Parts: sequence; C-alpha cells; structure tokens
Amino acid sequence: MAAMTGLEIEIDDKTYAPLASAPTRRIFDGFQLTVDPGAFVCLLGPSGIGKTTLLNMISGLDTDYSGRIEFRGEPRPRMGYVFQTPRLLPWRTVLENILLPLPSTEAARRTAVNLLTDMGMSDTQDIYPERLSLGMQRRVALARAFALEPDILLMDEPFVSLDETTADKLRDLLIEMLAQRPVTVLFVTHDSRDAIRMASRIIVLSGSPAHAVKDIQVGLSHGERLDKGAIEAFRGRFLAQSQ
Amino acid sequence: MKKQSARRSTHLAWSALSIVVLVAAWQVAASFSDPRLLPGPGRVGATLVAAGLDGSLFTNIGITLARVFASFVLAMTIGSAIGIALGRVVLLNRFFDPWLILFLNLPALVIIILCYIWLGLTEVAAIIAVAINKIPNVAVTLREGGRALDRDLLEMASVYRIGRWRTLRHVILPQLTPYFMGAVRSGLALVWKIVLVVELLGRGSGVGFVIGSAFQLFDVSTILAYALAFVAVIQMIEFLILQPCERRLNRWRR
Ligand SMILES: Nc1ncnc2c1ncn2[C@@H]1O[C@H](COP(=O)(O)OP(=O)(O)O)[C@@H](O)[C@H]1O
Ligand SMILES: [Mg+2]
Repeated sequence: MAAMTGLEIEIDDKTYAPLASAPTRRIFDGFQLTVDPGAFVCLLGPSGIGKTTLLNMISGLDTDYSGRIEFRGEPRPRMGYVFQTPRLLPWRTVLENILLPLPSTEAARRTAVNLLTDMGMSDTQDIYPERLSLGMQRRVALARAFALEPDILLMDEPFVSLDETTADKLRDLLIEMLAQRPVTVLFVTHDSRDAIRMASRIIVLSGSPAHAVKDIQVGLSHGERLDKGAIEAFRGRFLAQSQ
Repeated sequence: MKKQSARRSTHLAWSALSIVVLVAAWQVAASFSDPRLLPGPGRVGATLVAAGLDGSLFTNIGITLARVFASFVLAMTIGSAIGIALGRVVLLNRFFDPWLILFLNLPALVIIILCYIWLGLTEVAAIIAVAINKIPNVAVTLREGGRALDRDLLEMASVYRIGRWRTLRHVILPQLTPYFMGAVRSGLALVWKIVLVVELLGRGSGVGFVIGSAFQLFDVSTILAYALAFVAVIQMIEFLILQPCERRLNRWRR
C-alpha cells in the first residue's frame, strides 16, 4: 500500500473582494493546520465561517490567497472531493459519472462496478442521476471520490439536507468504506454528530477571521460511535459550550 | 403512453385538415384569377410531376441541398467556436461585440454581392457568402450558452483532473446542446432561404437559379412547384433528422 499523504496548511491571508455594499471580510488570517497521514480530521464550525473556502484552497480551485498548502508524502496527490452538493453530470449515467475521472480501461471499469456493488448500488449504474433521490446522488458522489483511489479525501458537509435515517446510513457506509480503503480525510461540517461519529480528531472553528478554538482527539471505540448515548455524552463533555 | 399516442394522432388529424383547407382555399382563389398569375394546385402538381420525371427537380434540389449543407456546417463550426470564446472570455466579448453587431445588421444582399465581387462568381464565394450571413446568429446563440456554463461542474472537472478533452466532451458540450440545437433550427430556416438568393444572383444551377429563370419567363407554376418541393424537403430534414437527434440528446432529462 502506498504511503499515506499528510497535509500542512498555513493561510496568512484569505480575503474575498467585497460584494456590492458589504465590507471586505477576512476569512482567514494566520490560520494553521497540520493533518497527519491517515487521520480523519473534522473541522467543525458554523456556516459562513469559511469551511468551503478552505477546502477550495486545498483542492487548488481557489489560488487567490497568501500562504502555503503542502502535501506530505505525495507532492501532487490524487484528490477526491465530495462537494456540498453532489455535482454529478445529469446527462451521464451513474456508472459514466464514476468512470469520468478514471482511465478508460477495462480494469477501471471493473473497479467502478465493484465499488458500486460494495456500496449497494449495483442496480443504479445505468440510471441518470436526476432520477435518484438526493441520498442516492450523494452516495454516487462518494463512489466517484473513492473510485480513483485518492491519497486524500476532502468532504464538504456531504450529509447535509438529508433526513436523519438516510444520513446515518451514509455515515455507516463511509466508515465501512474507510475501513476497506484507508485514506487521509479532511471533513468539514457544522453538525457535531457527523464529527463525533467518524473523526479521529475534531477541530472547532470560530470567529472572524476563523481560528481553531478546540482541538480534540476523539478516543471513542467503534461500538461507542454507533451508540447515540455515548455520542451525546461526548458532545456534552467537549462541545456543549461551542455549539 | 396510450394517451400520448392518442394526442399525437389528433394532432396529426388537425394538421391534415389544415392543409386540406389551405389547398381548397388556393383552388378557390385560382379559379377566380388568371391561371398565368395564380395557377391552381392541379397545374402546379402537374409541373412538379413533369420536373420530377425529367430529373431536373431532383438535380436542382440536390445541388441546393449540398450548398445548404456546406455553408451550414461551415457557419455552425465557425459560429460556435466564436460564440463559445466570446461567452467564456469577458475581454474578448467586450472587444468583438461591436463587430458582431455590425455583421448581425449587414443585409444579406450586401454580403452576397460583396463576396461575388471580391471572390468572383464561384461556388466558394457562394458558400462563404451564405456562411457569413449565418455565423453572427450562431455566435450570439452559443455565446449565451458559453456564459451559462455551470461553474460547479467545471470545478468538479478541474479537481478530478479529467483533462481538456473529457471536460469538453462530457461537461461543456452537453450543456451547449440546447443552444446548439436552437442555432441549428433557426439556421436551417435561414440558410436555405439565403442559398436561394445566392443561386439567383450568381449560380447556374439549383432551386434559386430555376426560380430566377422561371421569373424571366413569368412561369409561376414552376416557381410554386419548386418552392413547395423544397419546403417539403426541409420539413423532412426536421422530422427525420433533427427531431430524433434531439430526442436522443435529451434522453437524460426527467
Ligand atoms: N466567491 C465569494 N465572494 C465573496 N464572498 C464569498 C465568496 N464565497 C464565500 N464568500 C463568503 O465567505 C464566507 C465563508 O464562506 P464559506 O467558505 O462558503 O463558508 P462555509 O462553507 O463555512 O459555510 C461567507 O461569509 C461567504 O459569504
Ligand atoms: Mg460551505
């Protein structure tokens, strides 16, 4: 197995040009973060604080900032990015969407089909995404990210606007996928349950410009993560005052 | 499904009725006028059959269709490329927008005459003249498409490093399809009419040339016969090529 990729971030300044009448807002000012290889790091913060902005800088979509973002182990890692919305091509079938970033080989096709089967979606491969529920579309977006065997996985509130049951199923699925295909994960959310269920480390963001107010190692066992009571207890202990 | 096909056949019935009424009205009008000025459906039909039998109808329609096809492909290719570029690059658009407006408003006749003067009375001049008439319309339509490209999907393509070719083929072109089909539709209608003018002014063959000669001879029957035959051909292209094409491209829509 390839060595895992870590991440070192130092944002000296990220400011958006002011929109119309709103004043200029500094999103980050001297923000630092190190992500260890193989960790599942969760950034927890209210909406509007700059979580998506940070992921866009890491993914290279946004280069308009001063600072540096470096990958450890692999200078140009393969990146899976699960966006806040599924961002699937509506005019391509589920399987074609997953194949999109892969080389056009028979082996890649087999990987994609197996992945869909593992994720319980083998019957959807020839369906166009808009005919699927949002929960299913998010599942496809997750499959697309895993299919290219990423070195690092960025996830932007991938379970938002789903009902609790569907979201829970997807969380379980993600945990299972990560057990089979370990990868460094940076997950951002405003939902602390997401964080506690899955993360090995939680960083709570607050303020403007955003900075870390808490940095917690989550020592919960696999069993405890599946137990609502344990999660609520953890929430009360570490996160109550920040939410 | 049943309901849909029932609706389709009532639709067809209405179309048939409407055409029958139109032909009847034509017959009535013809019976009250000089047959040289307005020949009836029977005479025009006979002219059509005669032209069909001696082959001149098919030769001339074939030649005109070939010119329509050539100038159409040329205009769609160049117009799309210009339109997409203008839609994507603000600076280009700012600079070239006045040019576009100029060409949009140049009368077709002026472009045709200038092409014939500058390039000679040749096939190439004819086809270029038609294409130049159509390019600005295609560019304007595709520019809208280029502006409306979904940024989220382009970002996805870039993060997943799918490359230029796949981005074009799977992300950009499908989004431009409705604009492209719009340009094709209005293009077909415009291009064939301009081709007739080009043929009238500077070619020795094709539907436009035949209509021009018939004009000299005051042969209204031939003019109508060729016009109707050509309208029928264009409608057939619409039904047999464009519509099935569009249905296939829109399969993914709910
Ligand atoms: N392209 C942009 N231009 C100007 N302001 C932006 C832009 N994108 C985001 N913002 C602003 O930056 C802040 C952080 O946005 P975002 O990173 O999307 O937050 P989060 O993902 O944590 O909800 C918000 O206040 C938002 O309004
Ligand atoms: Mg966000």
